[in-house]
Amino acid sequence: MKKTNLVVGGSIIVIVFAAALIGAIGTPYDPTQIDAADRLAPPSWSHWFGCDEWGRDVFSRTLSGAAITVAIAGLTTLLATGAGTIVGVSAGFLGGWLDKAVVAVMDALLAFPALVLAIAMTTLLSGASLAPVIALSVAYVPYVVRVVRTGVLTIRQADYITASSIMGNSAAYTLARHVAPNVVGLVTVISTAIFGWALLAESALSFLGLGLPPPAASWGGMLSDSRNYFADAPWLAVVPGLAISFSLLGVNLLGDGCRDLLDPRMERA
Amino acid sequence: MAPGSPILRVDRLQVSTLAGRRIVDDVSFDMLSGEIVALVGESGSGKTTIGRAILRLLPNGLACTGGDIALRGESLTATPPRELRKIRGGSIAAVFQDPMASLNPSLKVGRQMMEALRLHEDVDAHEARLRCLAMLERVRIENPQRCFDDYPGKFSGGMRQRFMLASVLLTHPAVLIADEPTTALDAIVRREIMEQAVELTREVGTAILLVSHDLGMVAQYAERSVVLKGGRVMDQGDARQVLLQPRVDYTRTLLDAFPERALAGGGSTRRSPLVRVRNIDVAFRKSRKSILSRKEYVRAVRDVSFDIRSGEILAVVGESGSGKSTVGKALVDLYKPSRGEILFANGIERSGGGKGGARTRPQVQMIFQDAGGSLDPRMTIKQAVAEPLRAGGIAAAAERLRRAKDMLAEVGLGDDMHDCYPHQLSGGQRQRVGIARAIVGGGDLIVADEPVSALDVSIQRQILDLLKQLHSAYGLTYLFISHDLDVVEELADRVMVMQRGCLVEIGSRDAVFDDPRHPYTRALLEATPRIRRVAPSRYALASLTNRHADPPSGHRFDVPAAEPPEHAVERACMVEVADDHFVRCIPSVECGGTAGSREEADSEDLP
Repeated sequence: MKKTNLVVGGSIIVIVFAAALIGAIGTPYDPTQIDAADRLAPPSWSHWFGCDEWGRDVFSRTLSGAAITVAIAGLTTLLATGAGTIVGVSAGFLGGWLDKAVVAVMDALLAFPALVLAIAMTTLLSGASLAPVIALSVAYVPYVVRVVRTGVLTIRQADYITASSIMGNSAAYTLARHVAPNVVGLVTVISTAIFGWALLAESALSFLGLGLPPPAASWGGMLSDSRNYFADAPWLAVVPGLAISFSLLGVNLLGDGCRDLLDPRMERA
Repeated sequence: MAPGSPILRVDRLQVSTLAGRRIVDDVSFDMLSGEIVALVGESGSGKTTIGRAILRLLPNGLACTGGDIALRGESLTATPPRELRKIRGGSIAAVFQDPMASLNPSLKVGRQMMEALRLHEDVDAHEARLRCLAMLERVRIENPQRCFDDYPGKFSGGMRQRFMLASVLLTHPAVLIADEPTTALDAIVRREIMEQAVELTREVGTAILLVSHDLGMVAQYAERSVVLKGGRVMDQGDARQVLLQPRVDYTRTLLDAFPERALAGGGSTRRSPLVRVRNIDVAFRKSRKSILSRKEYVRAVRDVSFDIRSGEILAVVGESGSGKSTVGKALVDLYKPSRGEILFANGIERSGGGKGGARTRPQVQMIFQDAGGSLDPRMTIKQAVAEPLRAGGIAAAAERLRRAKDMLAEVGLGDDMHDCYPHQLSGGQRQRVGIARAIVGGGDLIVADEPVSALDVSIQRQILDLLKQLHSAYGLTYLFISHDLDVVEELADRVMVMQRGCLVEIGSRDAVFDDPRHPYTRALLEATPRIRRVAPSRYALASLTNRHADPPSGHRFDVPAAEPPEHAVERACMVEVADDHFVRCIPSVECGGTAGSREEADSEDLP
C-alpha cells in the first residue's frame, strides 16, 4: 500500500516536472503567440487542448504554466522549509528566550490565513519578480517552524538524547547526529505538503491577477480567463483545472509515501 | 446454597483463537466464598485470559470453545448478554493493573463510584453518596469528602487503585477478578492495598481471583493457587504447599527464575572509593504559577553522602519519588547538585553551586530502564554501540566499529543482528545493546536505572546474568537503582535505602536485608514477601529476622513532638550502628551545634 502511494505519486510528479521542463525549454507553439484564426478552436490534432480566446495553443500554455508554477512552488518550498527548519530546530533545541520569541512571531504570522498574508505581501512587493515566492514563503514558514519545533521538543525529551549527553557528545554533535536525522522525516512530509499548498496558492494568486503579469501563461491565470468562455470552450477551464488537481494528487501521494518510507518504525506495520 | 459449595466453578474451560489454537486448555478450579485463589504463571500462560473469560469479556479473536463457568451453580456461558450486564460489576467485579485505564479522567471520583452502585442497586442519590463515603473511609482514604468531589487525575496510582477497590466492593460482589492489581505500585502501598482487599473481602464474603506473576505475594495472601503454563494447569492446591513445597518441575523453574541471594556474603571488604558523594542536594525549580511569583524549589535529594567503592555493586532502593533516580542522574552529570560535591577517584570534581565544573567527563555511563527509548531509532545497533568510542577519543571509524562488534558479540548479539535498527529487536535484545553501549568505552562506573524493570521475568533473569557476568569479567562498578528488592538482594554488595530524598540506611546487603534498622527499611522489607529456597525444592517466605530495631543510643527515628519536622530533618545525621552499616536518625536531645556537626563530620568520612 505504502509502495503504491510512493510509485503513483512519484510518477505523477515526474510527469509534472517533465512538463515543466519542456515548458521551460520549448513548447510546440509559442505560448504567447496570438492567432485570430484559431480563436476558441476546439481540441484537434494540431492543437491537442484547443486554443483560447486569443487563438493561443492551450497545450503549450499548459506546459509553460507548469514551468512557472513548479518553479514558484519549488522555490517557495525550498525557502520556507529551509528557513523554517533552521528556526524550528534552533528554537526547539536551544529553548529559552529564543524559543519564546520565535513562538510569538510565528503565532502572530499564523493568525493570518496563509493566502490572505500572501496576497497582502504580494501587493506590497508588487513589481519584484520573486514577489509570489517571497510572499508564499513568509506565509508558510510558520507551519514548518511549528511542526519542526514540536518534533524537536519531543526528540529532545527522548532517552537517546540523554544518552548522547552522557556519552560526552557536544550539543552540536547531538544536534547533527541525533536530532537532525530524526526530524528529516517530518521535514520531508511538511515540505511535500508545502509544495502542494504553494502550487495551489500560486494558482490562486494568478487567478486573482497577482501572479506573473498577463501574457505569461499560468494555470491560475488560464482558469481565470476561461470563465467568460466556459459555455463555448469548456476545455479552457478543464485543462488547467485538471493540471492543478493532478499535480496536487501527485504531491499528496508522494508525501504519504515518503513519510512511510522515511520512518523506520513503520516497517513492521 | 450449602456451605462449602463453590461460589464460582470453572469446569474444563477451553479458550481458543479463531484459528483453533488453544490459549486455555481444560482448566478447572473452584472458588469458595471469601477465598483468595491465585492464578500464577509466566506471561502467555493464559492467566489473564481466564479472568477475562469469567467476565465474558474475551478480546476479539478469542472465544470459549468448551467447558463451563458457573456462578452459584448457574452457568454463565448460557447467560444472555442483558443478564450478563447485571452480573458484571454486580456479582462479578474486576480490578485491573492500571486504575487510570478504568477510571474516566473527566468524571469526578464520586460520580463514578455512585454510577456503579446505582446501576446495580435501587438506592437514591443521598444514600449512594453516604455509602460511597463510608467505603472510601474503609479503604483508608484520609479525606473522603474531598476525594469524592475531585477528578482521578489528581491522585497517585495507589490512591486510584483504592478508589477502584472501593467502588467495586460497594456492590458486594461474589467474585472479584483482580488482574495484577498492585503490580504498578510501590511495595508499601502494594501491601496496604492487598491487606485492605483481604480484610474487606473477608468481611463481605467476596472471593478474589488474584491474577499475578508475583509468587511472593501469592504465597503471602492466597489460600489456593493454580499454576498455569501454556494454558494448562500444572498444579493446584493450597497456595503455600503448591509454591513452597513444589511438586511439579514447572513450579520449581518459576521459583528458580526469581533472583536469589548468592551464598557468599556481599563483598563487604572495604575497597577504595571510586566516587565520593558528599552532602549533595539536588533541587528543581517548581513551575511558577505566574511570572511574578517567587521562584520555589523542591529538594529532590537532600544532604546525601555515600561512597561508591571500586568494583562493587551498590544498590539504591526506595519508592518512586524517593530521589533514587535523581542521585543516579547527578552522577552522570545530568543534574548539577545545588550543594555538596561529587569527587571521582581520578581527581575530577563536580561541586554544587558554581557553574562550569569539570571539562573532561569522567567515565560514567548509564543503562536505561527503557532500552528502546535510549537508542536512536535511526542508528543501527552497531553504530549505536560504536558511538561512545568517538567521544572516548578513538578517531578511526573502522576501529570503533570493530570494537562495537566485539562488544555486541560479548553481550550475545550475533553478527546477523549488527545492522538491525532498535525497533527490529525484542526488549531483552535492546537492553543488551544498551548494556554493550554503556561498557564499550571502558567506563569505570555504570549507573543502571531500573535496567530490568520493564522486562518479563525470564528475560529479566538473562539480563541479570549478563550484568553479573560482565561485572566480574570487566571489574565494573555498578550503581544499581531498583525498586525490586529481589533483584537487589541477588546482585548488590551494598544497599542504600532512600526515602523522600534522604539516605536513611546504608550497609552491606546482608546487614540491610537481615538486620534492617531504620523503620522505613523495615517497612519496605516487610511489605515485600519474598520466597527463598531453604533446601532443594523447599522454599519459604522470608521474614525479618531481627525482631526489633532500636535507634542507636542517644538518637531517635521519629520526629520529637515538640519540634517542627523540618527542623528535625535538618538535625538528622548518619550514625554507624554496626561495622560499615549506617542509619539516619535524629539526636534525641537538642544538642546544640557542636554535637550535631561532630556527628556529621564522622559520617563524612565513613559511609
